Amino acid sequence: MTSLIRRAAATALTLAVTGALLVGCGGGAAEDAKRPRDPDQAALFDKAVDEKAVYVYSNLEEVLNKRLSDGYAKAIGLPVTIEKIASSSINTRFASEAEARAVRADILVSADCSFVRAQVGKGIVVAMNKANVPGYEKYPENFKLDGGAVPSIQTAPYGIGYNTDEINKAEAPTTWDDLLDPRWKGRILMTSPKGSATRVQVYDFLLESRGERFLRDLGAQAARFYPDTGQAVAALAAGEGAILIPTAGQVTGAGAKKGAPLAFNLPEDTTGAPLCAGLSAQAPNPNAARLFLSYLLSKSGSEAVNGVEELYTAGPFDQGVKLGEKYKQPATVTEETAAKVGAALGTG
Amino acid sequence: MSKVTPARPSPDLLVEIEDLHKSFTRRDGQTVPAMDGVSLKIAQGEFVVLLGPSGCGKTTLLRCLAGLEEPDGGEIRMRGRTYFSGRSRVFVPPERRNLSMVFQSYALWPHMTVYDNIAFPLRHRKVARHDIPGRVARALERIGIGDLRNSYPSQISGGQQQRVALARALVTNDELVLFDEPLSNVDARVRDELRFELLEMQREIGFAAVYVTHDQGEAMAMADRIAVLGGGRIRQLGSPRDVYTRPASLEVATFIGTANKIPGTVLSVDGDGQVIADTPLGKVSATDRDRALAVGDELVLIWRPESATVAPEAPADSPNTWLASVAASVFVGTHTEADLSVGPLKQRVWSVDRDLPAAGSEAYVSVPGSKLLAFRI
Amino acid sequence: MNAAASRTRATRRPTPFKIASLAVITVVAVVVAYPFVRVVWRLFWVDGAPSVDPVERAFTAPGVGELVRDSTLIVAVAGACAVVIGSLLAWLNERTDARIRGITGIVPLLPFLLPSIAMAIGWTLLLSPRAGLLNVWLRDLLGLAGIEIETGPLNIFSIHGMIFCYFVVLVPYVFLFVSAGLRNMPGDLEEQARVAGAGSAGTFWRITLPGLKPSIAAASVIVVWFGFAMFSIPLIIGTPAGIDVLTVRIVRLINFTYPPRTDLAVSLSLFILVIVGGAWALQVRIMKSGMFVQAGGRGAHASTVRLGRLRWPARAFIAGFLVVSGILPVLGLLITALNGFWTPNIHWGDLGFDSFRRVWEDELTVSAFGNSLLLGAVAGTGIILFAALMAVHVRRDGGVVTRLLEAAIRLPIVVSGFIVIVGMILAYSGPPFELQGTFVLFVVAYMATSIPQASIVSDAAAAQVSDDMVEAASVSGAGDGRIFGRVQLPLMAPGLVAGWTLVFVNITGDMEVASMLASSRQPVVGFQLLDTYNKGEFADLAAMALMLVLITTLCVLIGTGLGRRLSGRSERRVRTARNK
Repeated sequence: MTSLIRRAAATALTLAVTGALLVGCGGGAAEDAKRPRDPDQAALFDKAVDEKAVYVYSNLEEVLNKRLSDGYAKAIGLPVTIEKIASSSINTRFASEAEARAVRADILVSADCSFVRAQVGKGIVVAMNKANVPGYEKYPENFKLDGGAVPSIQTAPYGIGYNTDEINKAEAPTTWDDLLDPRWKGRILMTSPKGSATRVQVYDFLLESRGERFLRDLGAQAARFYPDTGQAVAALAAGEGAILIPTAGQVTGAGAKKGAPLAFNLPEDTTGAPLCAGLSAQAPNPNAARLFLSYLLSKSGSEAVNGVEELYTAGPFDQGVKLGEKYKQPATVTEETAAKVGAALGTG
Repeated sequence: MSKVTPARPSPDLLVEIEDLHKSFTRRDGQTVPAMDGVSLKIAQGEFVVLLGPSGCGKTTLLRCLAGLEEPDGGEIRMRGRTYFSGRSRVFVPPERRNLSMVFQSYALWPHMTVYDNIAFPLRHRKVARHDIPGRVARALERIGIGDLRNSYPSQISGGQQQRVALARALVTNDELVLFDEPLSNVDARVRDELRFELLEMQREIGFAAVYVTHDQGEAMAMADRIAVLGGGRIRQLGSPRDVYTRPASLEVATFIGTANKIPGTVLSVDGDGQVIADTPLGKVSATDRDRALAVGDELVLIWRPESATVAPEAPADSPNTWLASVAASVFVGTHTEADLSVGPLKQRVWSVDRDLPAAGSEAYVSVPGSKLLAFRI
Repeated sequence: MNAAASRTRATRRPTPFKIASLAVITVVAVVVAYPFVRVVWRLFWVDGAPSVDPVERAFTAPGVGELVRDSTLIVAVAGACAVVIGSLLAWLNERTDARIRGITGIVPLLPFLLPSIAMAIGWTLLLSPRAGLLNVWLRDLLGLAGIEIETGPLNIFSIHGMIFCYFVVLVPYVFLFVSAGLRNMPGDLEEQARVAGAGSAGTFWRITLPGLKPSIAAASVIVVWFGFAMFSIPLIIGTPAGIDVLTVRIVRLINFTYPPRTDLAVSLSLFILVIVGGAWALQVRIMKSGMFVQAGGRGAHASTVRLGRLRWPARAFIAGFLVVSGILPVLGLLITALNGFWTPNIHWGDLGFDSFRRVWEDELTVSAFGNSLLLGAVAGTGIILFAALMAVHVRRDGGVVTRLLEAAIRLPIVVSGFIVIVGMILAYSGPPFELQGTFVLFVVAYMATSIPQASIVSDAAAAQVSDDMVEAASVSGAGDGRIFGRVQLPLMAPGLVAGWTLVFVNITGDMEVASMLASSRQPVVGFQLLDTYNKGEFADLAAMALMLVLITTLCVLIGTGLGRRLSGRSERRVRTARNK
C-alpha cells in the first residue's frame, strides 16, 4: 500500500515538473524575417531581432488573433505570441502583474478602453502619441482617444437585436425610440450595466442624448436584465424575449450563422464598444513591441482585425461596417456614471 | 455461594421456535448457514442458555427472536401469536413483540439520563403517564441504583451501566427477556455478583430468559436448560448436569468443560453398554450409553478431570489405572490441577481433597469405567 | 481527541517525521496564506496603525443591508432544506429497506459531478419563463386541460428559483456527512429502542437524530460555508432575478471596477467570515458537549428498518430527487446540445451530435480537457496526501501552533476565493518566484481552494483510526513515519479515496481559478466553458459540460472501485482487531 502511494506521488511529481517545464518553454522560432523598408521601422527591426517574441494579451476573438499573427508573419516575420485572456480577468491580470513587477505582456488589446486610459494615467501604459511608434501620426483622428494617448483599433457599434420568429422585419424597431412602444413591454431582454463598462457606456449615451426619463421608461420595458451578453443572446434566440439591447451585430450574427432566428438593426445614432491597444511601460521587448504596433496601427493591421465581415466591426481605415455620421464615441465611465445609469434603469 | 431459590414449576409453553433457517452471503459470495434447522420450545419462567463458540448461530437465533433479523424459513410463535412464519409470510416487527433485550454493549442512550433510559420503553408501550415515575422508581430500587437516576451514562461505571440496562429490561414486566452476552464486558468480580442477582430476580419475577453466552461456566451456573449450538444447529438441549455428564456428541463433550481424550478401537462389546477398547494406554473399559458401538469401530474416550483418583501406589483391583508422570501441578484456590503424561498422551486431573504429587514425580491415575464416555468417530 | 495522551506526548522529544510534517505544513500554510494576508493586511494597517476602516466600509457600503439579507436568507432557507432532505436520504439509504444497493447511495451525489455553471445553465434552459423547455411542456400540459398561459408556470429567475438551485447543490454534502455518521453509529442503540417498543418513527426521532447531532452539525457548517461561496448560480440565476449576493458583488468589485475596489471587496467578505466562523464555532461547541457516542461502537451492524407500506413511496421519493436534481438539468443540457442551440422548438428529426463534434474537434478544447484531467489527477493526489498528513499531525499534536497553521490554510478560502487568487497573482507571478504562465501557479491556486475541502474528509478519516492502532504500532517499534505510511494511511484509504474524487471533480470542473489564471496558452475546461458562456453558445457549453461529466464519472468510478478494494482490506484488518 505504501509503495503504491510512493509510486503515485513520484509519478505525480514527475508529471508536475514536466508539465511546468513544457509550458515554461515555448516561444516561436524566428521565421523568415523581412527587414522593413521604412527607416524608422527598420531601426526598430534591428533592435527587435535581439529581443524575444512580442507578447500580447488580447481579448479579441481567436480568429482575429490568428489573422493578426498571420498578417504580421507575412509583413515582417518576427515572432509574436498572442494570448487570449477572458475579458472578466484581463484587466486584473494585467494590473496585478504590473504591480508585481512581473509584466509579461508587451501589449494589451482590450475591449475595456476606460481601463487602458486609466492605466495611461497611472503610467503603467505608455501614451501612444508619445511612444514613438512609426506611422501613428497618420492614424485617423476619430479612432484616437484622449487626444491620441489611446488608439482604438476597432469599434463594434451597438444596436438592437431581435428574434425573427417573434417579430418580422417590417415590425422590428430600428431606432432606440421605437423601443418605448407599449407592445414591447416585457418583451425586451437587456444586459445589466453592472459588471461591464461598455454597457454602461451605451446606457449613458442614451441617458445623455435622450434624458433620464427616457432611460427610466426604457428600463420599465425590460423583461429582465442578464449579467452577460452570452446568456442574453441565447435567451433571445430561444424566444425568451423578442428584442435584445444593447447588442453588437457580431453577437447576433454569430448565432444567425448557426441557424438561430436572429437579426440586427443598427440605429443611426448610436455608440459602440471600441477595442483599444496599449503599450506596457515595463514591456520586456520594447522595440519588438513598437514594431508590432506600427503594423497593428496601419492599414494592413487594421484589415486583419476588421476584415471579417460577419463580425460587424468598423475599422479606422474605413474597413468593415460604415459608421453613420451620428455615431458618437463613448464617454469615459466613472462610478458616478454607473450609479446614475443604474438608478435610472432600476438595476441599482 | 448460597443456594438460589429453586425454579418454580412452570408447564406453560411460552415460545415455540420451529425449524428456523438463515444463511448469510459473505463478501466473496460464499453462503454461510447461521441457522440450519433450529427448533426449541421455551416454557414460561424458564432460563434457557444458548451456548456455543463464535459463529455457531446463537446470536442470530436471539436476534431472530427479537425481530431484529428475519429468518429465511421456519416459524416463531409466542403465547400462540405467530411472530414469524416463512410459510405464511408473517413478520412482526420488534416493537410489537412485547419482549425486552439486554445488549452486550448495554446500548444506553448517551443523550438521556438514567431515568429517561429506563422510562423509554414505558413511554412507548402506552403505559399511563402517571404510572411511569412509580414504575421507574421501583425498577431503580430493585436493581439498587436509585441514586443514579439523574446521571448520564457517560458519568457512571461499567457495572452501573449494566444495572441500568437490566433495570430498563425489567421495567416493562415482559414475560420474555433476551440477553446478548451481557456480562462479557464486566470484570470477574462484578460478573459473579450480577449473575447471582440476575438469577434471583428471574426466579422472583418469573420471566423467561434466553441468554446467549460463550462461557460454559456461566451457562451451567445460570441455566435451567442449555442449548449447545454448533454449525447452526442445536447439538444438545438439556439441563446443565445432563449436558456435562452425558454429552450427546464428541463436539458437545469437548466444548463443555475440560475433556481428556483417549483414542482407540473397540475390542469387545457386552450387552450392558460396556465396551473394551484398545488404546495407547492399553485395554480400557468404558461406557457406551447409546449402545451404538460395534467391534472394530474407531472411537474416542472422554473423561472429566475431576473423575480420576490419583495415588502414589497402584490401587488394588482397579481397571483403567495407568502410570503417569506429573509434568506440572498448579494450585488454583478451589482445587489443584495437574498435567500428566500418561503413556504417549497428555491428560489433566483436578483434585479437591488430596494434594497431588508434585511435578516430576510419578503416580497412578484411575478412572472408573462409568466415567469414561465413548464416542464413535 | 485524547487530551491526556496529547499531554504526555508533548513531553516527548519530537521525532524527525513530526518535524518534517510540521515543516511541510508550515510551507503550505505560508504559500496559501501569504498572498491573501498581503492583500488584506494593507487594508487593516494604514499608516502604521491598525485601522477599522474596512469594518466601517463594510457597514456603509451601498445596498449592503439588502445584500447581506438576501445572501443570508437564501443560504439559510436552502441550507435548512438541504440538511433535512439530505439527512432523510441518508437515513433511508443506510438504515431502511428502501435502499437499493448501488443506486440509492449514488443518486444524491450526482449534482457533485456537474460543474456549477452547467447546473445553472441547465436550469436556465429548463425554467426560463418563456423559453424554458420544462415550462413549454408544462404549458402544453395545462393547455390540454384547457388552461392557456403565456409565460411560466415556473420561473427560475426568482428567489425561489435561487433557493431551489442552492438546495439541489447542497444536498450531496449533507448526504455524505450524515451517511458517514450513520455508518459510525453503533446500531444497537436503535435496536434497543425498537425492542423497547418504539416504532421506526419513534426510534428515528428519539434515538437516531440526537445521535447524529455531530454529523448534522458538521454538515450544517459545510452547507453554510459552501452556500456563501457559491458564485455561478447567483450570477446566472440571481442577476436576472435582480438579486445580488456577496460573492457576486465581491467579484464585480475586483474585476469590473477600476480602480478595483479591493478594499470594499475585502470589507464585504468580512460578513462571510463572521457568518461561517460563527457556524464553525457552534459546531465546535456541539462537539465539545460530548453527549454522543464516538466512532466505532462495539455494536453489531444495525438492523434495517422495514418501512412496509412506506417502502415504495420512499423509493419514489429518492427517485424523485434523482430526477429533479440530476436528470432534469442533464436532460436540458443534452437536448440543447443535440439540438444545436437553445430553443423550445425542438427539431426532433434534426437532433445530432454536431455540438459534440465541434467540441472534440476543437484543438484548444481537447488541450483544455487534457490539462484539466492532468491537473485534477496530479494536484488532487498531492492535495489529499497533504490533507492526510495534516489531519494526522493535528490529531497527534493539537497545540496552538498547529491550530494556527490549520486556520491559515482554511481561512483565506472561506473569505473569498477570488481575493486569494488575485493575491496569488500579485505575490507569485513576479520575482523571485516567476510562476506566471506556468501550471505551477495553477497548482498553488488549487491548493488554496481545495485543501480546506480535502481536510474535512481527511479529518474524518483520521478520526476513524482508533488510537490503539497507532499505539500498538508504536509499541511494536515503528517510528512515526512508518506508522503514518503503514498504519494510518492504509486505514484512512477509503476516506481518502472519497476525498480524492471530490477534489478531482472540483479541479477538473473549476471555474474560479480558470477564469483568473487560464488563457488560450494554458487552457483548462473551466476557461473553455466560460468562453462558450460568454458567446452564448449554450449548445457547445452543454456538450462540453456533458463530456466533462462523462469523463469525471468514469474517473470517479475507477477511484471508488479502487477505494472499495482498499476498504475491503482495511475493514478486514479492523475486524480482526475487534475480535480479540
